[in-house]
Amino acid sequence: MESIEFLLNVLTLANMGAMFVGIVVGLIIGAIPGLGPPMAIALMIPISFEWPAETALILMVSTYAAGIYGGSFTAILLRAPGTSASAASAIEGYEMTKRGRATEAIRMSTFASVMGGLISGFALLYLAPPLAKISLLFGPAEFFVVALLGLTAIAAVSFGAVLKGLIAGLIGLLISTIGVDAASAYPRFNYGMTGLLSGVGILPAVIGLFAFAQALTLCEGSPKTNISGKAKLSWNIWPRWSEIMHCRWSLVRGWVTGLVMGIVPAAGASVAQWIAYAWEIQRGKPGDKFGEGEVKGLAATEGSNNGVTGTSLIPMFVLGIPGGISAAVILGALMIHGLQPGDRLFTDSPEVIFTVIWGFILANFFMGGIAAVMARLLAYVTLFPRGLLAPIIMIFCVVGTFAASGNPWDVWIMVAMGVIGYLAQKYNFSPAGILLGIILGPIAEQGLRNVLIVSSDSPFSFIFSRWISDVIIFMIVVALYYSFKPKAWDQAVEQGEATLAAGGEKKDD
Amino acid sequence: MKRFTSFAFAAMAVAGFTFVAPGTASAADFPSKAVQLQVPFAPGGGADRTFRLFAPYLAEELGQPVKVTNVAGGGGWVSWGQVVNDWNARRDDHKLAVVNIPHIFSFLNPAMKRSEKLESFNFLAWHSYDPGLWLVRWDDERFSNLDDVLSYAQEQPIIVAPGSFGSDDHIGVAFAQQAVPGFKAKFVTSRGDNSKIQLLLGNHVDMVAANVGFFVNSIMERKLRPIAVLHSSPWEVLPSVPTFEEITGKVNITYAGRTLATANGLEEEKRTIYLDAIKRAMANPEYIAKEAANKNHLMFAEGDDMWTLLREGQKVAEQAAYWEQEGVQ
Repeated sequence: MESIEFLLNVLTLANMGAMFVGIVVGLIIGAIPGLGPPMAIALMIPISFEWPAETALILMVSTYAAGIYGGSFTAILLRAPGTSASAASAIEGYEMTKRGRATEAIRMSTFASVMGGLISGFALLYLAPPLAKISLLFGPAEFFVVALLGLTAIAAVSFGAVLKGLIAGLIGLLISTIGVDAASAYPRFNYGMTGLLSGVGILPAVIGLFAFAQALTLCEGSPKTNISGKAKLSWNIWPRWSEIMHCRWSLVRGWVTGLVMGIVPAAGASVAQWIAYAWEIQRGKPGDKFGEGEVKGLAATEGSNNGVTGTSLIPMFVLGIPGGISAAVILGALMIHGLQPGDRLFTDSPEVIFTVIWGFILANFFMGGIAAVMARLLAYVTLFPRGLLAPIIMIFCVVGTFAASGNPWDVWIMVAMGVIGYLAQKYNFSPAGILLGIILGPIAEQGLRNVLIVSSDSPFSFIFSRWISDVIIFMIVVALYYSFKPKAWDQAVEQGEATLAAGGEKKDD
Repeated sequence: MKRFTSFAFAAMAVAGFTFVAPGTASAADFPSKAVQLQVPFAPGGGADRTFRLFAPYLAEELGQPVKVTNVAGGGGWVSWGQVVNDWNARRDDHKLAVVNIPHIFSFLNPAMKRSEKLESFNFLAWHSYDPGLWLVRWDDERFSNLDDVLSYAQEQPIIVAPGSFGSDDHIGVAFAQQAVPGFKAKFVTSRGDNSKIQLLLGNHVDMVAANVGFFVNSIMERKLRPIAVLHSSPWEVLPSVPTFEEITGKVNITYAGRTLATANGLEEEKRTIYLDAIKRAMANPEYIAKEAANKNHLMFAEGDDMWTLLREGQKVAEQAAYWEQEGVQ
C-alpha cells in the first residue's frame, strides 16, 4: 500500500502532459494499419532522453495502452485492424457497424478496454512479484501447449464451417514455416528470394488478411453506398448500465484472459483476444449471434487485449524479460535512463517505478474519454461512400506496411495476404484461422522441437509431467469439447434466429 | 569504325567530365544534405536503439541531419543486399549502413545461396563490440565454473540456449564442440536474449550462451553466474571471469559487433569525411555516457585493425561450420 503516495507524483504538469501526448499519439498511431505502439515508443526514446525517467516512461506506457486500444477503432469501423492486437475485434465489431450499430460497438469497446487496462494496471501495481514467478514456469512444453490452446480457437471462429476453418488454419501453419529455420539456419520455402528469408510477419499478415481484403470486398458493392447503410450516427458514446449488464460475464472472461495471457511470455494481446473470443463463442447462449455482430464477442476481445497491457509489463519490470515487442522497447528506454529492471528497481527507485505504474493506470482512465470522442469522430468514415473508402484503406495498408519495416517485400507479402484473405472470406474459409496459424505456428514449432530436444525421446511424459502444461491441456480438452458439441450450439443459433425473427433485434439509437 | 571510336572517346570524355567535375567540387562541401543511416532490423531492437542514440552526435560532426531508417527482413540481408548490389557511389553517397557481425557470416552457409563475401562491403569503421559470455544459474549447485560445465558435458549433453542457429552465441558453442574432445551440447532455440533469461531462470536449460552487455544486470542481481568469456583476454566489465582459452587452452573468440559501411566505390575524400565524423562522434563523452547506460560497449576500429577483426570473426565461423553439424539439415 506504500505505493499510493506515488500517485501524487503523477500529477505534475510535465507528467500529465506526457501522458496526454502519449494517449493521443498512441490512439492515432494504433489506428493506422502498420504503425503500432512499438514503433511509436522506439521513436520516443531519443526525444525523451533528457527528460526525468518517470516522465519519459509515462509517455511510453501511455502510448502503449492507447495504441492497443487505437487499433480497435479501425477494426470495428472498417474491418481494418490497426494492430495485430485488435484483429479479433474486426469480426463482431465490423458486423455491428454494418448493421448500423457502430456507436454501440464503440461504447462497449471503450468500456471493455478502459476497465481491462485499469484492472491490468492494478495487477501490475499489487501482484507483480508473484505473477513474475509464474511467468518463469513457461518453458518449451508450456509454449507448445499454449499454442495448441490458441489453435483450438480456429474451430470456434470458423462459425460452423469447421472443416474449412481447419484447412484455413493449416494454410496459416504452412505459411508460418516460410523463412530461415531458427533450429537449423536453413531457409525454408523462400525459392531464392531474400525477402522471404525472414518469413511472413504477423503485421503484413494481419493488414493483408483483414484490412486489404476488406478494401477488395468494398470494391464489390455499389461505389456510392456506404457500409453502415445509415445517413446519420448518434453521439451517445457513454455505455449504458443495461449494455454492461448484458455483457458482464463476457467482460469478466475477456479481462481474465487478458490478465493471464499478459504474463505468458511471447503470447500477448494477439493471442489473448482469440482465446477470449473462442471462449465466448463456446459459451454461446440462445439468442447470441456470433459472427453477425454479437456485442458479447466484442466485449470479450476488447476486454482481453487491453487486459494484457499491464500484466505484460510485469516480467519486464521484475525480471527484465519483456513479454512482447512493446515491452522490449520500454525495457530499452528504462536502461537508457540508467534504471535496471529487477527486484532492485522496486527497492532502489520506488519513486520512479510506482509513479510510472500510477501513470499507466491514470492513462487508462483518461484514455476512455479521449478515445470515445476520437472513435466517434472517426466513425464518420462509415458514412463515406465505398468508392472513396476502398482506395483510402488500400493506401493506408501500403504506406503503413512499408513504414513499419522499410522493406518493400513486406508490401508485396501484405498484398498477397490481402488476396488470400479476400478469397478466404468470400468462400467461407475463415481468414482468422489463417492468421491464427501464422501467429501460433512458430510458437508451436519451436516449443515442440525444443521439447523433443530436452525430453530425450519421451516428449509425452515430459509434457504431462509439468503442472502448467497439464492445466493448459485440460483447457484444450474443454475447449474442444465445447467446440465440437454442435447440437447445443446449432440449437442455440436456430432458437436465436427464431427469437430475432419474432422482432427481438436490438436497435441502435 | 574510326569515326565511331572518336565519337565514343568524345562522349566518354564529356561523360567523364560531367561525372567527375561535380564530384570533386562536392567533396569540399560534403555532405550537402541529410545523411541516411540504414539499420537492417526493425525499430526498437538493440541496433536500432544504439544508432538512434548515435545519430544526433554524428549529425553534429557532419553538419547535416542524420536520419535513421529501418530496412528489416532476411536476417539483415534485405538491407545488405541493397548496400552491396544496388547502392551506387554517386547516387547513394549520402547513405551509411549498419552491418552486424557475425550475422553477415551467414553467407558462409551454403543453404543461404549468397554470393557476397566480406570484401563485397565497403566497411568504414567498427562501432560496437560485445564479447560472448556463458552463464549458468547463480543457485545451480552443479556448476560453479567452466570446468564443472565441461566435465558435466562430457558425461551427458548439456542443454544450452544459444538464441538461433548461426548467431555468434551458437557459433561459440558449436566451436567448443569441435575443439574440446567429448563436449556434448543440445540446443534449445529461442528468440532473443529476453527468452534466454526466461529459459535459464525457469530451469528449462542448463546454460545460456550470450553476450556480456545484456546480462550485466542479471549478474549484479546474483541471478546468473558468468563462467567464461569468449574473448582474447578478461573483459573489463567482468575482470574476474576467465576466458575460454585460459581454461581449455583453445582460442574461442565470438562477439556481437556492429560496423558501419558505405556504398562501394565511394570517393576517398567523402570516405574520410565520414570516417573522421564517426571517430569524433564516438569520442563525445555525452554519447559514451548514454551508451554506457544502454550497456553497449563502444569500440572504434578502422583500416587494418578493423579488417583483422572481421577476418578473425569469419575464421571462427568457418571452423564452427554449424551448417555441417549432424542432424541440422
